[in-house]
Amino acid sequence: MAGSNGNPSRAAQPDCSSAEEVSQPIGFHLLRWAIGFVIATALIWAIAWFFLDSIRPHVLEPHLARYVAPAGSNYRFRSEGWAVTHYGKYGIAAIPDIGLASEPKIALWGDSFVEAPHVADSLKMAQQVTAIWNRKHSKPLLAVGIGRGDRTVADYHFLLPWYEELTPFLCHIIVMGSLRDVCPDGIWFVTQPEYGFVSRQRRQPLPELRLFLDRYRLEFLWTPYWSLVGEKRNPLTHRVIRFHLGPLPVASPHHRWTWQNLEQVDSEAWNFAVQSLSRRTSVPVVFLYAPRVPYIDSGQIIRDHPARDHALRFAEICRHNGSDFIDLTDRFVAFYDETGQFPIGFANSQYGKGHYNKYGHRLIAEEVCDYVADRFPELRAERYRELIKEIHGDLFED
Amino acid sequence: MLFTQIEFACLLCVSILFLLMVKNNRARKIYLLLASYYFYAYWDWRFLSLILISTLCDFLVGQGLKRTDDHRRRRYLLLTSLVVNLGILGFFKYYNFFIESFETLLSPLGWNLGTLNIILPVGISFYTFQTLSYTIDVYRRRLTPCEDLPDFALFVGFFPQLVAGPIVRAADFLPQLSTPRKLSWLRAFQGIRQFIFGLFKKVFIADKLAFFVDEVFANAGAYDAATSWLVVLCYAVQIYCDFSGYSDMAIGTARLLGYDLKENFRHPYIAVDMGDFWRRWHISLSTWLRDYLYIPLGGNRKGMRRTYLNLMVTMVLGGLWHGAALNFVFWGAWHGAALAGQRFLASHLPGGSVQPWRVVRRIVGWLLTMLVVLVGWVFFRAETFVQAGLLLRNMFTIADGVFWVYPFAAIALVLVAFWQGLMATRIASWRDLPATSWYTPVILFLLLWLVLIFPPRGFNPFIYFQF
Repeated sequence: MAGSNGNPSRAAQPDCSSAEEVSQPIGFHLLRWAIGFVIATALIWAIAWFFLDSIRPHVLEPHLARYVAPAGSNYRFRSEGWAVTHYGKYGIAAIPDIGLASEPKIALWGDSFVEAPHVADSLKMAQQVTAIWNRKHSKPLLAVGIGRGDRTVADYHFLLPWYEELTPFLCHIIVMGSLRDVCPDGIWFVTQPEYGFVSRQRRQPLPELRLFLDRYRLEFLWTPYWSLVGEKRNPLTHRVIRFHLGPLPVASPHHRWTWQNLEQVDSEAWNFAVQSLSRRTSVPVVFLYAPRVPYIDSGQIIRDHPARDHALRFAEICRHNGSDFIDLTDRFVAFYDETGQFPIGFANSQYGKGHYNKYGHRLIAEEVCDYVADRFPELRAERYRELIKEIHGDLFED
Repeated sequence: MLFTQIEFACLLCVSILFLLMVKNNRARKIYLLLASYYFYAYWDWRFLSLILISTLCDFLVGQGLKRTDDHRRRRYLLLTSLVVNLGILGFFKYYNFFIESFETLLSPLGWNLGTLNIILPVGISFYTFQTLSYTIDVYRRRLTPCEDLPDFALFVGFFPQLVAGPIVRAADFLPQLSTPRKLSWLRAFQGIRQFIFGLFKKVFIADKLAFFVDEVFANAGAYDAATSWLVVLCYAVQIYCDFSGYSDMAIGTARLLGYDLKENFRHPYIAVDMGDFWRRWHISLSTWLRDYLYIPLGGNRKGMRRTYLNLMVTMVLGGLWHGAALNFVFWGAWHGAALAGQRFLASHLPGGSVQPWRVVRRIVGWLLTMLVVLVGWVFFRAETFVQAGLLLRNMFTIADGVFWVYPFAAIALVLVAFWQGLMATRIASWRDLPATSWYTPVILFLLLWLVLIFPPRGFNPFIYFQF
């Protein structure tokens, strides 16, 4: 590599040896470079198709009055995990049309943890619930994952009746990767003197361009375009472009959500959130808390989440309002201790951080199946078997 | 301003346009000087004053040395340059380090010197060594003093290599300023080619590896032996691609502007002994240390013991040059000991001219060199000795822990190993990407596309900026 040698004389050798070709007309060289650009772009198109996240266009779903992934679209995710998600109607992953399914259904609500573009459709928690349940029990059940990144309890509050209009659910399970999910709009909600939910429309910027690029599989153009034009930021440094002289301005600390924000949360706020959600439906609302544990910090495997006390506080509020609270902290930790595998994180991101991997989804699915079996005994195989036994005799005896 | 920023691309384009339009050499040099100062002031204009002080001081010292033959006066002049330059460097880079080191000794006596909140000026180690080489060479009468202050200021502040080298010698650079530089398509191509290589190494390889390396080093005790070995290998690749990437971009940029800088790296990971490694790694620094420290100390001319001592002193100071921390001192001492050990073995082991023996010796030499270099990188990268100790313990005790193979790390290692191996074999001429070959545009555009569509996570300044 001439570049790595850096020796000007060395670098110049091969070029000078063919000086007669350098003296070709400029049109010849322009053509050569143009062809080179086309070939390189074609190669990149093929590489990007495999290695790059696809563009996820969102369209307005009239029934929900929300922007969702169009039915029939696929989303290839490579940044964290390695999977393709197929969307059905109403922005629901891995189910073509929930309106057509006749089985009893449970809804798993959540943000990107439930949408789970990081794992394949069959490994998502909803699909695993369905698979595990139907393997164990003879009465079928369909779990529906209704998730989209950045959604919170405020979104569930507005969406829940709309989805119930489409199809009835036995119960609604709110899957929380962190307690932020019950603090809508982050810090704003917890600092308001009067609590309230705001219906938010998250419209993606440049939806037409996204659709166009997605249609022609041109996702490799998106990153440079968005960095250079869309975001007005330096694509390689992720900093705002500037030309004036330094000293570099000290960036104001980004107001990011951390678990310490929970210190500010008044229990009344959570009381309001749980009550509001429960009032939107006649079926049980269950809160399932599956935090990012265990995780690695300062060279140690940390098994207890620092927000555990707040989770217990929230659990108490749920019970007080008649909602069940399922805590998977211990199950996640026990799984790590038994297998050495993290329920969170991927090899191409970071273990113990990020989103649930296939193990995390499975553990949640098992817990959901156990809960549903307990809460709805009429669905359990044993009860079904008992019923069949009464009618047909003892068919299941060994 | 970083080479990977759009602002730099704008500055470079404006500079090239100016050089194409203006043929007057003096105007060109003045423009490049102003552009260089803008480049530096973009980070923090206040520290431009330090460059100006160094520049003015050494220019005047050079003029003074020219005007006098009095040995004593010449020594005073040299001493002035050393005190001013090393004083600035010492204050901004080493003040807190020495205060903290002495504080443990003085605190029992009730003395509390107190550290200062000092910002390390970017590139201070590089331009200080550069300007010192000028005064020392003039003092030794190996170089004619520069007569023109703007020329000298451009030598010190030339923006492609100002903040992270290569450390340019006045004898190599000043003569290039006396004649108008030719801008040609071929030179432009060569510059762009080298810049793209550097950009690819920095952004696509080094910055993407940084994510994995940073995480594992920060949690050194948590990962198992395989992951620990993998991360050290990755750091070796990261620092190489980061620093040699910067050098490539600097050399490429200079070439685009019509100037030639010397190579700074020559595939260091194919070195078969430690001496060979230092002839390939950060060549401009190793030759500086050799010419201005090791040889004046006596080099290898005063017996074996003195040679070992000289090697140790040179490398320890080389380590300290990298950073004001004990881990850099230890890293320098480690390399010094390795160089001394290599000399000892070379003088006590049979040479052997039989072909199989030479091949075995080269393979064993390469393995040992890599082992020494990798262990050295652990100390270089670790923030504390405890962190380094944890990682080394995990590496050498087959420790249990979290197993993590970062997929990109595997790809990068194979890629770099393949490329370095190719360099060792020298079987292919296509690696040079000649201007006229059909595949050169394809590969260069491919590298550019890869940089653009796979940007790194977050902001990763060049590792050597901290030095």
